[in-house]
Amino acid sequence: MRRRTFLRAAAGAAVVTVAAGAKPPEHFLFRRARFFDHGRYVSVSVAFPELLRASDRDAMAWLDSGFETVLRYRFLVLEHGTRREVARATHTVTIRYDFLRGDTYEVRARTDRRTLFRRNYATRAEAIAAATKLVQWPVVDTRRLVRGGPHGPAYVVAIVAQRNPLDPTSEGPAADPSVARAQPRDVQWFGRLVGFLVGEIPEAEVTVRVRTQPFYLEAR
Amino acid sequence: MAAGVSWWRSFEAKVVALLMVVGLLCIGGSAYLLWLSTSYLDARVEASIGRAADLADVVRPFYRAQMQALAESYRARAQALDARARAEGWSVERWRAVLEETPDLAEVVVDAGGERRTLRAARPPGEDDVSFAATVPEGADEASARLVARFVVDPAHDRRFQAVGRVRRALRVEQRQLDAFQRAVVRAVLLLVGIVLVAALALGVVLARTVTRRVAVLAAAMDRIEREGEDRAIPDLGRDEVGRLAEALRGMLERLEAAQARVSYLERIGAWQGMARRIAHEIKNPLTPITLAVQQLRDKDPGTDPAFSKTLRTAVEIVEDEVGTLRRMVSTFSRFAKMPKVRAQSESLRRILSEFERAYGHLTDDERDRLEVGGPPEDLFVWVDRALLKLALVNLVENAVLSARGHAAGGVHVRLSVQPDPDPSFVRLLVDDNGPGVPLARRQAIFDPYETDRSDGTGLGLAIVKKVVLDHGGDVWVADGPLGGARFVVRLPRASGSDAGDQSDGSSNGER
Repeated sequence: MRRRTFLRAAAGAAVVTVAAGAKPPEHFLFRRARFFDHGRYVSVSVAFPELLRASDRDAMAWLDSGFETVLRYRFLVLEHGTRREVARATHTVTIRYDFLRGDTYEVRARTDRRTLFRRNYATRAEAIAAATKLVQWPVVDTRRLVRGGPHGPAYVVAIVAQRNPLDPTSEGPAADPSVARAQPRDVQWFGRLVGFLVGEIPEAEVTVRVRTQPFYLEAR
Repeated sequence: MAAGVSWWRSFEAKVVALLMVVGLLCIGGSAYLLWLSTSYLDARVEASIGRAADLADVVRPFYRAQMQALAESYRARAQALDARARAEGWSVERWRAVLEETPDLAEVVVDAGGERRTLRAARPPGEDDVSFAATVPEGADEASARLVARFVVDPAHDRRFQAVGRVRRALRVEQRQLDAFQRAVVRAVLLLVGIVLVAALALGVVLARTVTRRVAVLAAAMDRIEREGEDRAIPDLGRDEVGRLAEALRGMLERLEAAQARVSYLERIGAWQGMARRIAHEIKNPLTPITLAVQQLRDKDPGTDPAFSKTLRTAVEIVEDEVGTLRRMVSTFSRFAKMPKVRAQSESLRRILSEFERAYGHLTDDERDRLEVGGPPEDLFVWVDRALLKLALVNLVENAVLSARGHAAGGVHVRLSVQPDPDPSFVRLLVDDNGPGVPLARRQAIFDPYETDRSDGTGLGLAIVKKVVLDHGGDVWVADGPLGGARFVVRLPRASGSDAGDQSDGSSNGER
């Protein structure tokens, strides 16, 4: 082997090593949903049972602990074909064991602006079902959509459902940026390098990414 | 790189490989120590996280008890309200007043005026507020409650508890990510160390090449010398060990070349000596009969013819002159052919020069001609055969006189002096004259036998000088002199003063 070949091989190995440490791209699964036209808004019904499975002992223990379990649903409405973003929405559901009312589980669902519902359920299973099965949840104002009927524009909804997403201000590697800023420059730089090499850090305990089938609005 | 040697087998490759091995060992050691450190710290951090998590878990039963106590207190307050209402017969207005007076009472459902009424506080609870409905059952039937009082729970209770929950969850996240970050830290350090290693390797290769390249140049020069048999110059390669090696090789080659030239010269001289011996023998024999014959011829002249007698006498004189010349030539040839072996001993240079000046200070009959002899500042001892050294000095001075005569306007000037040699084990004798000098092209040839530009010279004088000096282990050469003519430099080995008077049987090269 010549010197140049050896040096090229060494450089290539370095590039491969760095590339291997980089984060992989995200992947969306297909999931069938039901859409409802309420006139002023469109709602969706879709289930995410994988967020809270009874077989997940840690999750069940957390539910029973009294501490909140947060389920966050982020909706992104896209124009089918062009993938142009039309609207966004985020709904948050909290489930917790209610010590005050004893032997019940409180489920509270909120949008960006208001509370969708707040109920107590006698059993954990009922509470989980209420939290993971979205029933006619509003996702987009119809004024943002075009009513073109079957021949008009179609839309797709991408949903990212997460259980206990990290709060970046208090959790994970970027927690408390004020502390990070207080560190010396070389430590901050080293931290950024570690962050690049650590690979994909879970944004939440469980993350499910789905894409629905296209839908359209009937003309009126 | 030497011809025919692939890079992987070269000296440079070995140096690079050594650097890489050292670098990899350093990296490996560093990585292991880093892994040890991070594992240790990881274990301690995990233990701390575990203890913090346990603390959060300890809070839970307290919160449960607190909430249960709170629920009991609400029920007790509802009971108290009911008791007071029944005892005092509260009206709807009284209930409204109680609602306003009790900040955390949001709503009551009571039987008032024969009908069930729901009374709410002026500021109803918001959709985010937590409320607790305490019921006072009618008798044993809780379904038909006599009073339902809804209290707004201070959100601070739940807020604090959920804050503990978030901390507990953050600790769980930290625990899960600890391993990933440990691996990432090791990868980051390995990457950085790798970069440093590559940079150090590149720098090391560049620096190593300053040595290996010079070694390769040296090896290539030696290859050429061996292969082509030519005495190529070895380049200057610096002042370190490699440079000193090159310098030593260069000196060795120069000495080898000088020794080869000396051996070659001595072989030639030996051949010439053999020839001179034969010529001297062949020429010497007929000279006496020739002389006797012409003398007889002269003695037998009756003298009757004065012209014939004059011619005969002239012829006899001519023959006697020429025979004399031939005898001198034969004598020179014989001296050259029968030069004795060197019997060197330690001699005082000052004494030799002093004796020489006394014997030969009167150069010629011309008073303008002068011999100047300068001795060494301190007495030096040389390892020489005194008689042979004097023979060499005589020949040199004679050669100087013959060269300068007819050339120097103010008379012949010959100077004999002593000069130190750069090698402290040698000393130089200098013979300067004010003759025409020796052209550069002839400075080697003049020491060959029979090499002369004079019609009456034998050409053996300088050859004898060189043979004598070489037999002493010295050297002789000619250069331009300060008197305007030539400078003959004779380099002789020194002896220590304690060796004075020691005698040894010298060999042909005058070794001790």
